Amino acid sequence: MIRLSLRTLPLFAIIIGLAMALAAFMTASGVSTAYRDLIRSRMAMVAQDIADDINNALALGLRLSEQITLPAVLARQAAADPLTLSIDVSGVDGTVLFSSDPARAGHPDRRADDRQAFRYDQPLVNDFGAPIGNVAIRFDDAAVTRGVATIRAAAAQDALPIGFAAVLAGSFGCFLVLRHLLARARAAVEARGEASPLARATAALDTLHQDGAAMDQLR
Amino acid sequence: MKSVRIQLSAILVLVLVMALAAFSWRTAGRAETVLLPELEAKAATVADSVASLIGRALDLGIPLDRLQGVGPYLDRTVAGNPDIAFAMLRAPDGAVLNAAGALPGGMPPLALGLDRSQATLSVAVRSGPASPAVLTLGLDPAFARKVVSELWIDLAIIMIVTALVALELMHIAFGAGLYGAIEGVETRLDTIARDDLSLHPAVDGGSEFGRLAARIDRRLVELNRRYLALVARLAAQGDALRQAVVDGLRRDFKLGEGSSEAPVSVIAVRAPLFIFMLAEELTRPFLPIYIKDLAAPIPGLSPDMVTSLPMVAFLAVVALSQPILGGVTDRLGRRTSLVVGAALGLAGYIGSAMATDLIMLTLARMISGLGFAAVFVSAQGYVIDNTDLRQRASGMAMFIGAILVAGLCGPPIGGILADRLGIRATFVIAGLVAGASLVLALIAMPRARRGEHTAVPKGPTIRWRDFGPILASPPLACLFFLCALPAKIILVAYCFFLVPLHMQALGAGQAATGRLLMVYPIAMVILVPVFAALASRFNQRAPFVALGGIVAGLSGLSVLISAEEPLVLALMLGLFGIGQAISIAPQSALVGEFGRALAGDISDSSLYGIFRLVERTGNALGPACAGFLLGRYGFTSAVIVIGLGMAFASAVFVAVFAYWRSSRHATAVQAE
Repeated sequence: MIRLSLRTLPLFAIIIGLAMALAAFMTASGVSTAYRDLIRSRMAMVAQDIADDINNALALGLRLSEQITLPAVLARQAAADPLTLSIDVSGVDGTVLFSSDPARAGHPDRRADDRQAFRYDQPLVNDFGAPIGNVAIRFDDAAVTRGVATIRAAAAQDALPIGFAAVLAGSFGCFLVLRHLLARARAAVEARGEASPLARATAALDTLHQDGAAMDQLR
Repeated sequence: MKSVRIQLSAILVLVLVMALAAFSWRTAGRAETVLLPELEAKAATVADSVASLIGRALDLGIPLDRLQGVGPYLDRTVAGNPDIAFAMLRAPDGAVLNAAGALPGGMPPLALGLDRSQATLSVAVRSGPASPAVLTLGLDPAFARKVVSELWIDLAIIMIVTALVALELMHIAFGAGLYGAIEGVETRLDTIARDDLSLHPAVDGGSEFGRLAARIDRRLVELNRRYLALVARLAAQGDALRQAVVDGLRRDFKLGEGSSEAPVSVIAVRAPLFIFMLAEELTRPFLPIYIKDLAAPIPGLSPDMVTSLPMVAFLAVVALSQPILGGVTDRLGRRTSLVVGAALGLAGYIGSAMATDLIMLTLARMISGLGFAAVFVSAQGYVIDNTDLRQRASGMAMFIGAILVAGLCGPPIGGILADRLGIRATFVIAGLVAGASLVLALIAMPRARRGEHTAVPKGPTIRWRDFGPILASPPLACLFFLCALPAKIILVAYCFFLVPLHMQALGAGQAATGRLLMVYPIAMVILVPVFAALASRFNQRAPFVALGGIVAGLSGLSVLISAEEPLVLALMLGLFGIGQAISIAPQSALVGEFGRALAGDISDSSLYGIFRLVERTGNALGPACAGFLLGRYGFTSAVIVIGLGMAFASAVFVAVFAYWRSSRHATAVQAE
């Protein structure tokens, strides 16, 4: 019987393994999304504050390229968050006008090639809705990825032993069900009591056969 | 369903739910560790931003107690950041000036900085060198748990579906012979317990279960042999009195009767069939959305009508190829045909994943449709080949059961996968699942014996000359065109087309659509056996068919409550499922009942073949009708028009049926 139940192990291992893998994947992706969303919303808030400052200055007639106090603001904001690589303010042509990282100022902001950064871009528009530039918050992508990898590893680490235990528990449950069925079958086969339908039918047939034999003798 | 299967289901669900609970608990703890520093960092950013805004207002000389709009601003801040429980602006003496969110019972300390024990962060609001206020933000300590718990519905669905899939594949793990022996032992025990001592199909005797089944069979065979000997002897003697007693024995113990259960060999087709159907069902929640994304405008057709075209093409291929495939699978062999069908399915799904325009997708779907039809016909033919007339119902119940369970499992999993991995990746997965069905067919289904494929075809074949008499029969024509055809039109229109598209329009994800689409098969799986038994018991099949059609049709009126509310859509699908469950089994039985009244040598397989063809035509018309109505009148009107059409057709059917029966009765009375 144990050997019989063990035959379910490969199936349970595959099926439960797939279920746990899917569950681990979903959980990891759900938590990773929440993790990235938290970071992104933090970046959005900083970007919005900077955009508000820029717009206030614009409203006072100060053009973007003339807002020379911006580098200090950007440096202060960047220093407040250890994940920040840089905070850049670019003009409409994509050239970085001001940055918390002085080395980036004056160079084009190559968004498509910016693989080392986890970015948040906040477009700047004037009161008429015309684009005037962009605020880019650049976080260290490696650090963000490390966080996501930690979440994935943790999910896998949890799923493995739990999945293994589930496979064993499933097979054990299968063993119990089959043992119960086997016991019922043995009891039915060995039943001799009058209540058993097999015994009752046998008795009825015996009676009819005996009656038949008696009648044959009489004839 | 066998109780051993129910017990195994219960154990598997229990084990998986416990695994899920343990996993979620562990993950929530770990998520907290990872998310908490980010929560604190974000709270610090939010606090700085809010404090600096208030500070700027104070710098302009506005007194703190005269600041306007701080309360609503804090409300918006809390509402926009689900990880922040509350925000509070206080004077240095601790007096609360403004607050938003769920405030804690006790007042948090005024000390600046992060207080992990209280889950609060306080920053000073600065105006020049002064700090006239303190802003305190409360972090939501349950945020990480909320993130994990939001996944619970999807995880629970995965676990339940996993349990169902495992059960469908259980016989592969045991091997068909052993599994058949296990179920065989149980069937014998159950029938004996009901005083049913009829004989059963033999099972594989190589295991302990097989040996026990054989021991039970020996006793049953002996009893039946003695009974038949007695019957023969009494018949020879012409002893009417004792014959009546022996007849009583037959009634009491069903002695001398064969079993109506399907033989064990039938089970071999269940896994490949189930897995293939699962592949198709995976695509349900997103197929129309995917088509809509790829579709280019076609002059004269609304975008919704265009969206329906690949679906129509798929279902038309299924409808048109099935009558031909009956003979083809007879010649090729069921196993080979099923393997070919699964391979076509695999190619079709991969093609759908790679499609870049509507034409490519339509072609890929047509290939899938051909594969679908081949698998369906092969599996149905396999059941027919392996059952005699008495066992057919049991065999077909297994066949339909596999399709219904696939319909239950596929959409929610397909939706989850499409949400997480994207639609194209889910098509690839559907292709792999179809491929798994191919492998299962090779493993589980017996190879055709030499010369078997040249045997006289036994599968479902349609004889074209039978169309005339069948369709000229008023009750059959009414049943086909007023019940079967509309039932399939509405099924495809509601479940496969309108609801997925409408859910997308409501902004719901594929997972939510998949969950919603589960409502219909759940109602079917639970209620079909119930209503089938009721219709048989009352012997009122036609009224059941009509009632079911009317309920299913009127279910569409639910959208009048609110078409924007997913719960209302769930109610609609639930009522629709109830309606279909009421009518589906009696409808099938009525076909046979009406068919028996036909003159000539029209076979059951031809009769049912034509019935299925009409149904499949309804399937193919479903998306076209829905697409046309959706493009022209919108979702609510399309649902109502299709639903009322169905209800009206069912009402006409019952009226025509009543008239036909009364006129037949009058003719019979006149003839007498």
